[in-house]
Amino acid sequence: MQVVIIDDEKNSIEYLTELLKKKEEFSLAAAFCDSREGLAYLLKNPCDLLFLDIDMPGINGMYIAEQISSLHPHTKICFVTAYNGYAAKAFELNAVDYLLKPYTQERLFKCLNKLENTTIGLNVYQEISGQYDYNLDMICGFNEEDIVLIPASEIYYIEALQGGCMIHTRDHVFRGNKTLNFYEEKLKKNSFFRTHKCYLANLTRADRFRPRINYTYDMYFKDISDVILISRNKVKELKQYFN
Amino acid sequence: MKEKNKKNRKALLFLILSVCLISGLVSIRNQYVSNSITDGYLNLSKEKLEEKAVQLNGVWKFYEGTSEDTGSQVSGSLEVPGSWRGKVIDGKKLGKHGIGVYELRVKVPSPGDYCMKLNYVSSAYQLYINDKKIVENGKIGTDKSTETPSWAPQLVYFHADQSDLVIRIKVSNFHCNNGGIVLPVYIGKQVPLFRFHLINLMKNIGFIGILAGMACYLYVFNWCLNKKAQSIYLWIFCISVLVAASIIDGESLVSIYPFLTIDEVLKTEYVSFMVQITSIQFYLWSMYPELGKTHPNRFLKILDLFYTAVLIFLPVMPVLYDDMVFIPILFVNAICYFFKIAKAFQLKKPNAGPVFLGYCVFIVSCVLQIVDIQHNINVKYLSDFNFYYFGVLFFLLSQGYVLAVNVEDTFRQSELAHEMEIASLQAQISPHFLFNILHNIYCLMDTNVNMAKNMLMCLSDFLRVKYRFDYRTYTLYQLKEELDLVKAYVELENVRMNGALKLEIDAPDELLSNGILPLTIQPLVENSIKHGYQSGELNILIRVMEAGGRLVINVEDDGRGIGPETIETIDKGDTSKNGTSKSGVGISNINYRLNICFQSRLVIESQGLKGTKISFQIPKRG
Repeated sequence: MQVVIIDDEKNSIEYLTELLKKKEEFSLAAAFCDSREGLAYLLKNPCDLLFLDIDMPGINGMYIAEQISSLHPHTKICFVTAYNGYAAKAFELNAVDYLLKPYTQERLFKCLNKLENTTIGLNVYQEISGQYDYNLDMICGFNEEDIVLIPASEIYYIEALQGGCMIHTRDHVFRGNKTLNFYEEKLKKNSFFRTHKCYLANLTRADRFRPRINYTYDMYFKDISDVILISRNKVKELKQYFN
Repeated sequence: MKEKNKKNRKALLFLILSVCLISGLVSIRNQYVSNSITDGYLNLSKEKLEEKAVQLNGVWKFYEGTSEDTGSQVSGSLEVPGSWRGKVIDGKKLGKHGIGVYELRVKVPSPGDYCMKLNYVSSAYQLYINDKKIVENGKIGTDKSTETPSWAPQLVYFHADQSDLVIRIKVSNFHCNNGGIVLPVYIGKQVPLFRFHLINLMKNIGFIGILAGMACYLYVFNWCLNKKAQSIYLWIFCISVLVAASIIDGESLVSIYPFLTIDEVLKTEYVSFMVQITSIQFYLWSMYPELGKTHPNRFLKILDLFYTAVLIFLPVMPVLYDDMVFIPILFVNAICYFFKIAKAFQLKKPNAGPVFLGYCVFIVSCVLQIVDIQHNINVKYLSDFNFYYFGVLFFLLSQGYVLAVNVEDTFRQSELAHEMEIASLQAQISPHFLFNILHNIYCLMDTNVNMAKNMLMCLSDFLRVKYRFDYRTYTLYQLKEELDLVKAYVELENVRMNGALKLEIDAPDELLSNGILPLTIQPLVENSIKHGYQSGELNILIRVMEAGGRLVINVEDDGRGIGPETIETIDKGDTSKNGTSKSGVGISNINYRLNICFQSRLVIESQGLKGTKISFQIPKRG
């Protein structure tokens, strides 16, 4: 079984690696301290078993789990967390196994045995991730042929279309696999603002606003020629934001 | 605490002064002239009756036991206003019931139209001027069955043909306890007398208004403070005083409901007084429950309730309404409450002081009022002073004062609770952090025992300061201790973050013993790491300098930086916006404590993506 570990603490990775060496059926494919590197690797290289810390700087473990489970449904995921009231509760409810730090060797092996015999539905991770409150610095964008990690600061705006979202950066347009509400929730801390039912804009990339006849505004961006709508009831909110 | 007491005492003093001022202003109404009458004759020929009314106070002639004035009857003199009861006419002591004729000869400046104001002449009377019947109030009789009582106040107009007037008031009293002309009689031209009458009415209604306002105020606020029983008792007290006040001035209630019979009015008056004392009793009981559980108290309570019930349900009987019954009951109650509150005061129960003061003033003024009715206190400036009103007002305002103090206390407590919440947030160690450290130590046990040992030491150093920290006290410790704490903390974090943190401390040795508030630098470093770390390395520089006799402490990092709008919200201490975001609370808490201790605050400078610099100043000491 190919194993990947993503944990922001080196000691934790080393400890887990040592323990896994005792079981012959597992072989470590890769281990990452940086969640972004980990996700980038996983997008291209599927694995059988993933050990995943939840609270990491950069990208939250929840998002990784959700993306990986939709991309590689057969990957089994084991969460490793120090303390997380909400996540623990959600895992219990959905019979997702997880390790609480610090954990012993016995606890790990027990968890591994259990993992082999259970399968978690695809939507479980998505559901937990949707309800769980966390921030994202990067999101996954899909091109025709591959998947890219887009830093939040490089996104200009996200547009909701029939059947999906389009993520607009300076040079490219990517498809997103989540709803606009999801992005709004997780990108709030990165100066993203919902200007319209169909638009989520990165205000740090905004250039100017121009009023239209019917009390709505147009938003112009730096460097790109796209224009998006600001709906009437959002104008006031936006003004407050800038004051 | 001392300052608070001082402030409260000032407020109490202000309260007392304002009550006295209001009462004084209301009672000074120089709207009439009062010339003392001797032996039933008054010469008004030199008075300007167009300007002021005249109060006919003094000694009137009185013919006892007759309604026909034949001139040959036994005559004596009686004080007006006052009750005839107990007075001696020609060696005969008068009882409360009987008939008689008051006679007064007045010389007015000129013949013309005049006006008289009479109220509370019990129970029925006829007014004759120069043997001409002017008005009849009720129907006079010779016993209870033939008399029709009436209590309506009268403002009568008459024409005087000559300047010598003989005023005769034939009074019969078989219904009331106080026979005779109990309240003053006024004479004058119409305009000044009417104005005087109006002012009287206004005063009465004004007092009723104050009572209604106090009733609502005390009720609502006590209710909000969860003192439901007390709020209801005070409300009942206010309302019953209101009813009594509308009766004893004899004008408002009867003016509004002229159809009320004297029996009903009498009943209402006595019941309202009983309700007043009973409600005070219940009020005190609910305030100091442990003092109320004695047998005399229980007995008194039953007595009051029983008497009140009797007054309400039985028809008006002279025995029940006799002063010999009523006044002792009032008196016993007053004494009993006095001892009760005095005991509470002695035991230093909460709020006993103002309640005691208010109650004493109330009782003293009630006694004075009773004496005034019976014996007519005639001191200059005080003759018009309504002691009862003053006492009630004082009592209620002292309750209002108690209420205000309670409200303030509640407010203070909620503020304190909020502070405690902040404090607990500040002192809280993030469980995520703690368990991660523990896991790290556990992991290192096999591979790197020395490092594990080191981490345990750091952790215990860290925990020691965190647990010793008491937000409420502002005891300082040495700068060195805070810096050690920071070092321990960074070392712990560094293990977790794989050595990405570089901490540099630049502090001259001679400043290390300077006093500093605990947990002022460490939370700043914690924020730097938590919010500033992006990737790669994070350099944190703590610099301690001396500048202008003060210590300047700088915490700098080269992390992600803070946006200007975030700085603004942090600076305002606006934690509500970020919810319970711990960093906001941490910063505003440090600001709060720095301000209290050293009158200084954090200065935050940040350029987006280029790091943050936070500095503050503290005084340099030894």
